[in-house]
Amino acid sequence: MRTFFTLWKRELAAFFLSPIAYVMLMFFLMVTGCGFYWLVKENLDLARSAQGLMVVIWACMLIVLPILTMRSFAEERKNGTFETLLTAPVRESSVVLAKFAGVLTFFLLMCLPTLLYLLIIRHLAPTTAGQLDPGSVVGGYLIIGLLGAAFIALGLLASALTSNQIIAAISSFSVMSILWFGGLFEPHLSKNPLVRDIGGYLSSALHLMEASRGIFDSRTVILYLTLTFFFLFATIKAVEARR
Amino acid sequence: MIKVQNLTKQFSGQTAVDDISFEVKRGEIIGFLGPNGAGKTTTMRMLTGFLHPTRGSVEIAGYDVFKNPLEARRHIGYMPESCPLYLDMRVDEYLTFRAQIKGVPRRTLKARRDSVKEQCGLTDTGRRIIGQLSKGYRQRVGLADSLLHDPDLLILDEPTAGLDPNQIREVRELIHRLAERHTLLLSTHILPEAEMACRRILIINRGRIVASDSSESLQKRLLGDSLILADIQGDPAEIQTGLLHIDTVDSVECIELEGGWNQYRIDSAAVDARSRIFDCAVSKGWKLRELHLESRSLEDIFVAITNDDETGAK
Repeated sequence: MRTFFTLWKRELAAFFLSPIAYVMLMFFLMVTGCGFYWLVKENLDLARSAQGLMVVIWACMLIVLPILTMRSFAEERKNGTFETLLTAPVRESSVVLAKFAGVLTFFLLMCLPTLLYLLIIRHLAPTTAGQLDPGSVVGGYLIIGLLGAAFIALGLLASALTSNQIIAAISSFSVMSILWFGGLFEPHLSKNPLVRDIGGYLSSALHLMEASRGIFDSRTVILYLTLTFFFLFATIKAVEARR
Repeated sequence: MIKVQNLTKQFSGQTAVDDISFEVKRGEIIGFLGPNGAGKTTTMRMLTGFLHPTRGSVEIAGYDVFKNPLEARRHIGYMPESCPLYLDMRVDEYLTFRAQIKGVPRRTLKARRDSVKEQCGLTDTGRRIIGQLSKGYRQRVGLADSLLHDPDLLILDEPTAGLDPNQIREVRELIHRLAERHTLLLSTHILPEAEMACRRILIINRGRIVASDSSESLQKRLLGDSLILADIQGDPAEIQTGLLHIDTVDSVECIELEGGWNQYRIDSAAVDARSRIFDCAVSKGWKLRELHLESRSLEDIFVAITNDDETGAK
């Protein structure tokens, strides 16, 4: 446990010791800021609910998460520090879990400033009719967190499989896109209703919309938790298979 | 301390390490020699459990490296080739981080860190960022890291690679000091280094161990004869026949020096013939001003072994 905590701290520190943290924070705040501004201008109704904000954050995740995870293993492999790390008395699983926890913590910290938008939203909707529903805010952030966890685990897997950060980022981006776009193209996906249904079930956009309307669906939670566990398990196996 | 049995590693059909077995006792200092690509690094990576072997087993301090990796690793201090470090951290931060993941108790952590820093000459560099240190200092940080948990066994993969002569000397002195308290396995392809530091030499070539002995007995065994230089004054013909009468002497060659002195190059069988040459000179009344056994270097042995092996392989 102490090892995990130490590795987690190191992982988090690595973000802030490199320019990555600051560049990504700036990018994220800039894009969410512009997105939110656009929403207020163009679609005030959507901006007044939690949904608008969630969609703005969700849109950034596809870019932000592959970049945050790409260095995790690929960089250590390239620099050789992978060898010093794994010849210390630490388990592969603690290394993987600590890296996962490190990126997830950073991502959640990154989302923290978006809570300020809630104040703006309240200001936009002073009457009781458009009041923010706490349930929808919690639901929205819950899905953002869960989807983030699954994406990060996927990103780690991609990073563990290569020593090239660009390859790691692009391959995780590609797989994430399926979850990301899946629902958007649902009507055009196929004539076969079964395929369309599957696309709908996997659609993160749809999950987010429902959750940020205050609808809680346990299937969504289970889907993302399963994906996270699966990708983390595969990452541990990939790290062990370096031999 | 180390027990290696039938260790084999194949990379996609290519055999990098081929069925090697050896043992290292506590307190020994072993030099692991071989040409580039002979399998040194692969072997060391297997000893530390970083790579898994295709076949065979490694035991460190009684723990199987592959069945009980965490216990075994607690006994190993390892510095990989080229000494990878987190360049974005400060020396103190890095060493603290490493001490924590190596399970150094919190109470003694700071004392331990300061003591290895002192051992490695890093006392004043704690606040420096590793990425800004010179190669020699980085090497010291790597060494300090490998010492943090006070391991019984130190495995150093080419600790002096890429350093300038002054730095090499410093690192060597450091290794000398470490050798007093730890079992040491160090790989190198720089021979004088192994000759100076190590009491036993393992030579590996094409994935196989081709020799394992002390540097002196390797000389005796592999080069057989010894070469003795003697400066004697007197009639060369008489002296040559006199010397050839000594039964271990195979051949004598005479080189003329100034002032009636001649230098004789005496090829003799394995035993050291110097005392017999001296006796011979005394009994015949020759003037002898120098008697010297030309020791052949590890370099000769290395070339002899690795070349033999190659011609043998063909």
